[in-house]
Amino acid sequence: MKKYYLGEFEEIVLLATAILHKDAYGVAIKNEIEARLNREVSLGAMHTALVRLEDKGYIRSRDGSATEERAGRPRKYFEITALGKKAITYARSSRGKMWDAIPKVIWELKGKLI
Amino acid sequence: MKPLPPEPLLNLFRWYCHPRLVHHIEGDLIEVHRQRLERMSKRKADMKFLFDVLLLFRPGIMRPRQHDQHLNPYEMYRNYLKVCFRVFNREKMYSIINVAGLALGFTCCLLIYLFVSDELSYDKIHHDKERIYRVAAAYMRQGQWEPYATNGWRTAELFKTHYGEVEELVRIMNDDGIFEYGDKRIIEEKIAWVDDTFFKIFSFPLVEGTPNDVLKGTNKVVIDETTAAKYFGTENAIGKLFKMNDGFVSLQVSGVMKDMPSTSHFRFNMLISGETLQQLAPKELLTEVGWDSQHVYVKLSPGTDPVVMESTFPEFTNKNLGYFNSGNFKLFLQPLLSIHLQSNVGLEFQDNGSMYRIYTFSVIAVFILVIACVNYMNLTTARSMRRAKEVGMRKALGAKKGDLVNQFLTESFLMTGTALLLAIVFSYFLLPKFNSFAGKEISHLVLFTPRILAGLLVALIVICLISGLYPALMLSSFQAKSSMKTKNGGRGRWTYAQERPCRVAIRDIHRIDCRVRDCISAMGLYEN
Repeated sequence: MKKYYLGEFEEIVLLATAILHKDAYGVAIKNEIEARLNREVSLGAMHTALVRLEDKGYIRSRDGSATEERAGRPRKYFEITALGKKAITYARSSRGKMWDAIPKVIWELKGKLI
Repeated sequence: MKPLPPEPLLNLFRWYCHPRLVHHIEGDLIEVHRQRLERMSKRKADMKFLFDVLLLFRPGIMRPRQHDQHLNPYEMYRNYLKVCFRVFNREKMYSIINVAGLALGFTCCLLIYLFVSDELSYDKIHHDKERIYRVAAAYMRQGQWEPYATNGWRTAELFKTHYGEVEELVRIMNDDGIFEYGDKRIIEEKIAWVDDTFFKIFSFPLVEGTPNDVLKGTNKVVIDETTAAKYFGTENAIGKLFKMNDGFVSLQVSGVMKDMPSTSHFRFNMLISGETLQQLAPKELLTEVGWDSQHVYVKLSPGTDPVVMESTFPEFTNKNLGYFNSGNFKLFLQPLLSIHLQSNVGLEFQDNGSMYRIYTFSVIAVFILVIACVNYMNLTTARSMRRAKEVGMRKALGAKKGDLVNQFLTESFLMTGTALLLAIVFSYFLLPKFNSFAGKEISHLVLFTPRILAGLLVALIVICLISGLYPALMLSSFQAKSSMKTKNGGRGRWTYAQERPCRVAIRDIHRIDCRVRDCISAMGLYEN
């Protein structure tokens, strides 16, 4: 049974939100992921993921104040919820179990498997 | 002040974005844009901004459709229908003229469509129809080639032996005669003497007998179902003996075929085996290339190029055809599928159609349709003044322009639908008259084939939009306030709409009448 549904990219966004703790807002999350994983993140993909995560109850948001560098537009800060924490824990532990189950011999094989 | 991203793109984003998300995402966009400006040129940053905006255009972020969110559209449509019926009742004369005009136009188009599609469906039932050709001949007379559909008996024989490309060849000689069976004596006008290869070339379905040998041997005849019923009633026709032309020859029924379809460029009730003719005809005729009584059809082997084949005809003529030579005699091939619409030579089996007529009728049909639609638009907009108050009231009560467009399109859909149904009914009852007028045998059932019905459905939607959109947009643009005060919906001077509706209708009908008569007389002139 699938307890938590978490896509690959959603998981990354959720983790980044958790890393940033109180400072997680759109651009900060984007920069965090880009810096840590060395990959380009589009605002479109990220905000879609944020909307979904919020719908699923893994994060919650609060409005921040408007700042000058954003030409008066407010920030929206995201924070991981208890359910969100369970979801990443579940994702990690389920992967861990799978990892442990891989036979050692796999790592010794080179070239293609037949 | 720090720079902002390109305004139009930002506006685009604001337009499509969900209102709940728009502010902070916009903030993110601007912040990212500014960060980029420190690293790259404005041009490049703007490009990236464009991609960002485009990539944000996705379901989770777009604003949902605004209309019908919490409304029950069904109730509204009920109201539209009710009002539509009331309006129809209030101005009966008007509405009847309007719907009847549309129905009349549709009926014309439908009938023309049936005619045209019937004309275009000739000789399509045969397998390998693309490989079947008629070998016709032309004679040089007074400096001109005179083409005929027929050829010599002997010529066909020589043709078959000379050309390896000819897979099958059949000679058809149309005739008439008196047939006698029991106490019945009937003159049959649609009979033909045909070679036993007839059913190998033409795939007319047989009810009794096999295509390969049903016409083999002498004194055999294949009759169609109608003829079988005429002479033998319910008895089995196979083996029955006819006396033809007062005992000149007796013929035994060896097969029964389905009646040849009306969409065939020749139709026979009876086919007599060619060997019988060979026995009866004087020997001189059979060895004489000038006895041009036979319609010769060939099926060429796959991949044969008729043009290449035709180029060898003069040589063939000079070598084989006795006193004919390439100077006074010419053979040519006519593709089977082209015969009905394009061939107009001497001794055709029956009067053929013409491509010209097809084009003319199609153009007329389109014209009639357009005029009918325009007429509908005219009438609807012309009486729209009466609806101005209603529009004003609806707007005052909160109807959006889209709702009103919807309402008037519903009405238009209803009117067009009614007209279309009427057109089907009219066509159904007019079809017999039309058939006798056009010399066709189009069945009533054709009206209800899936193709026609699907076509009508598409036509309904398209015509409903074409004829309904203008009135709908026009009516829904009235200003709420002024439409209730002034006479013309607050649209300023607009005299056309204030004309008396009946006069508009009569003028339009007159206009249609003139145009149709122009077309028909033009066609008449051409054909004469």
